[in-house]
Amino acid sequence: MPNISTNEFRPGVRVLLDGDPCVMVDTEFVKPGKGQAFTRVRLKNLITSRTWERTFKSGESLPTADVMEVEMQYLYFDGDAYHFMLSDGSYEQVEVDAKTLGEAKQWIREEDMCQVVLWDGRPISITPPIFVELEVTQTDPGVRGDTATGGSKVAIMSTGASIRVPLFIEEGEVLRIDTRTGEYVGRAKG
Amino acid sequence: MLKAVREFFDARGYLEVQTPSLSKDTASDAFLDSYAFDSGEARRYLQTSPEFHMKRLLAHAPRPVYQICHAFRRGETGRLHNSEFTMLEWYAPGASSADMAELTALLVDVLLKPDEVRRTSFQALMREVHGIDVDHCDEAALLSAARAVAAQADQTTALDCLYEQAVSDLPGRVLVHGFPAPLASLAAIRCDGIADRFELIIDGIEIANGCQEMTDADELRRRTERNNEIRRVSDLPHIKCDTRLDAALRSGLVPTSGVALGFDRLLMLKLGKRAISEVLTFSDETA
Repeated sequence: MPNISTNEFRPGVRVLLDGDPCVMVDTEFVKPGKGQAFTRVRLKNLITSRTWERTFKSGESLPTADVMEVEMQYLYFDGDAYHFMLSDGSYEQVEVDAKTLGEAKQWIREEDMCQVVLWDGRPISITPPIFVELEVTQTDPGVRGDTATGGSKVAIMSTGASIRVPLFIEEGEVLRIDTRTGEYVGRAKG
Repeated sequence: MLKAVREFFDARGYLEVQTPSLSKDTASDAFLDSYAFDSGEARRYLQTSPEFHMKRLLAHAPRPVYQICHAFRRGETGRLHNSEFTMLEWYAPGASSADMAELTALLVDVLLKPDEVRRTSFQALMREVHGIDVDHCDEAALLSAARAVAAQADQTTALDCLYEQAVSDLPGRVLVHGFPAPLASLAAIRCDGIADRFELIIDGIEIANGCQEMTDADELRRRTERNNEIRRVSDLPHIKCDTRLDAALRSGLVPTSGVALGFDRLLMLKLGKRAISEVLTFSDETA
């Protein structure tokens, strides 16, 4: 991949830093009046999601990273890996291990569409749909008037996720959940 | 605010001057790039500051002078930079850099609101922020400290980079004085080997830079040549040594201190703006 110099550093640019693909979040030109110019960059490591701050001397360069975000459909789990398929009609598939899938694992069901970040064709992170609708498989019956727990209780969903729901929710109901926060939004409509 | 600046200096016996923006000479600072013009005759440069002309004036007639003018620095565009900007520069023959630092703090009290000013030396600041003693540590220690912030560094880069990092997080008004010799620019070097230069930082932004001026023409030549070596490595054009500033210093410049202040940045602070482009009629993007 070609190198990219400090004067082309912009938010959104993807580079390799210490061997990991990163995306620039924020870039700033800094220069003391009597000193030399630097570019200060905040980067997000696309594998670990950690944010780094680095300062580069003007004229320094970094290799660009072949990173792209694609929409893929979750197919199935074969006991070892999770299989995803490109939704562009190519039927191209990738395997994702549990570690890479991370938190997303507890929200997705077969056939759900996810955003997958590919680095040199390898999946490095998976973002589930923002809202998912899942069935409650297990929860205690709500006890009227019990407000000691703030009017909520734990429910286990069909994917194994455990979330806090209002007391009136019963087993078998389908709930809408915000995967960014892992919070109950409401009962699914229809 | 311009009016207040003029009142401030007029009341203190300074003469307002105007010097040309275009000159056959330009600053040789290792990291300043001047706009150059070839108009059939000799090459001329847009001035990166009025320093050369004002020092020539002082060599001719030593008296306190100030100027509000535009300065031009190629390739400097960013949140706090615009390649054409307004500079306030003043010189006082016979004054020390400490006198000038106090005058700068007073001017800022007048233009903004009076506020406490913290005073620290470059060395103390670096010890406080980075835990290194820049005057006594070896080059390896300096470089390894800078490694944490910059990938490639030599000694000067390391100092620049560590200093920039240190001041960018400083709250309030801070006067930093006494810079390592490699960061002297055109400041005189004190007998302890430290450059007699100061900077005023406000909320992490470099506002003003002042010094006891170096008046030795031979030393000017040496520094210009050293700068040219660094310029060559970073592909900046060579700057000739036999400038008319050189001639002026040879004719004799009395001990003088001077200050350059970024007027737009001060205006930014006064108006609570985040970027220099917000206080310019037209910025690099729109001009």
